[in-house]
Amino acid sequence: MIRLPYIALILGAICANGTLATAAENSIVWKSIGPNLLESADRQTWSVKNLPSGANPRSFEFFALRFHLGYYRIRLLSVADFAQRKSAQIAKEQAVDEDSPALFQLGVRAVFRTNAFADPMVAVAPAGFVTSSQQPTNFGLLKIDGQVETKLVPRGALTAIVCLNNAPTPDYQYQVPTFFRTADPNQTKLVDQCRDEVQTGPRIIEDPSVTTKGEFEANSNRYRAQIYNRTIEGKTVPETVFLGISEKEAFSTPYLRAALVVDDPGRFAEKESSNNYERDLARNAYVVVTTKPATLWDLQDMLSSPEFYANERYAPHWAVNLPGDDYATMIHVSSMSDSQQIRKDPVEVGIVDRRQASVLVVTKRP
Amino acid sequence: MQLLAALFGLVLLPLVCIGHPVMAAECLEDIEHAVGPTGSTPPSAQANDPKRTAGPILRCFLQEVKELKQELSALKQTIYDTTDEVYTISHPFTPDDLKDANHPLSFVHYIYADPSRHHVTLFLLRRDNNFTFNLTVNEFSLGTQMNNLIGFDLTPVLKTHALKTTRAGVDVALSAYPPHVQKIEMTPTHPNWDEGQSASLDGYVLVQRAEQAQ
Repeated sequence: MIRLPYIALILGAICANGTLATAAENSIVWKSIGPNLLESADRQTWSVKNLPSGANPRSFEFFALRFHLGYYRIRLLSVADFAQRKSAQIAKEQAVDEDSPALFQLGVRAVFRTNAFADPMVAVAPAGFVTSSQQPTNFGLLKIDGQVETKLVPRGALTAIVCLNNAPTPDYQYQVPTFFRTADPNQTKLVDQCRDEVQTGPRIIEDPSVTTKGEFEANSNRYRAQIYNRTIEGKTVPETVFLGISEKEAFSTPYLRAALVVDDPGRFAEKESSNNYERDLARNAYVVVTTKPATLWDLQDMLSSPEFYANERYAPHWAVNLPGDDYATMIHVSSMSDSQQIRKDPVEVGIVDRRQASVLVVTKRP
Repeated sequence: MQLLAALFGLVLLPLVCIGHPVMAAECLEDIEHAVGPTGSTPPSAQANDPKRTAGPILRCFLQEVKELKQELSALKQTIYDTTDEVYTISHPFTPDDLKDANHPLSFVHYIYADPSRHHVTLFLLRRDNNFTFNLTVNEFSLGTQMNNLIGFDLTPVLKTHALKTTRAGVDVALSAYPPHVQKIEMTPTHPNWDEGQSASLDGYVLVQRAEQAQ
């Protein structure tokens, strides 16, 4: 007689303080859409958990793709170069005269449909910012295969240079993307050395491999560090997450957003049991695109939360903002088999025909 | 004074009478009031007394001129009725304008309109050849337009999508616009050149005061 109301009371109290309600509401559902960890989270809603006082409660809708960097890779493509190299295919695909490339629709859909690479296409998302709609060249640094296409812009909000491959040796079996800081003179050499990179920003979660906790403590007004607890083999392992977005951003204008994210999946090699022991170690990368406006603070809230990763081993590593507003878009396969890609009915997010300056192309590794 | 009266009587009065007979009639009535009922004084005596006639008549005509000026000024202001501005659009293009993928054929107009006070209508006509065109207002896509736009109401989209100070979601102070500046962008697509090697997108944007226009 006493037990039932007592349990109800406890449950009621837990629900009232939001613990259960928040966990259920914010739990992201990742659906497998291909082999070797290719997952998508379609049309999910994130309710922002941590808001500074005075900020209104809010949520946003988003799509995300998660892929294992040992089996999938990110490439960089200049859209102008793509339009030139693939003009015949684009013209045929879009039923436009090949001599009129100014009429090509050069958004992520065109790149997805006219694969510029030999490997199977998985997804396309924006990379660099566009100078203007009338001059759709890349704004800021764009370097592809060692060739500088557009120059670095040293000041402004584009504070990150995403380098697609920062592996310690060239014969690494998997891709190690990172980012450098645009205005950090100590990283100029690293920027020069990287062969495929694009300037973007702002930085949402700082890369801990190039960040010391001391610099955050030295300027605690600007940066915050938080402890993220993950579980590896039954043990709680605390990780420090360096947050790049300041509190004032919680009050800024919300826009549609896109972000490139890399996690720390806590993987260990099992040499004897796998031929791919090295590539199995690789991190996961994510492309996130919101379909409802969000601030950078809102995005940071999600990307530093366990509910987003929905895997007790995974922890945040770094995240950068990509072109947003009308440029926040993505197209990815709805499913993919081991042998070949099925390109029917891709998932299209945002304005997929919006002219982009440069794009991130996710392909399947051989 | 006699000379002034003579000048008035011989030159200005006939001119005014021809140009504005109503005004002349009104002022002649004033003369009668000034000199008394017709016939009470011999005509020769009236004409010979400029002190009595010139002052009231001049005052009358000056008042009439003032009123006419006011009327003209009001008329000038309402000559386009409720229209505050008309922005004309004329963009001819040829196949040669379409050869560079890095220079999309895109026509941009910046207009001034306060959507809380103005009603904005777009008239956009394809000329010389058939083609479709994409229409974007304040960076918000209104999709591909298959037909000419006659009296296309832009006001609702201007109310919901103001021109933002942003480069792809990152606020840039240098990109700021003054209040109520609106950006209209047109991008021709799929011209068929059946009618020759030129085409044009022509029309105008009508900015009218909202309370009268609707």
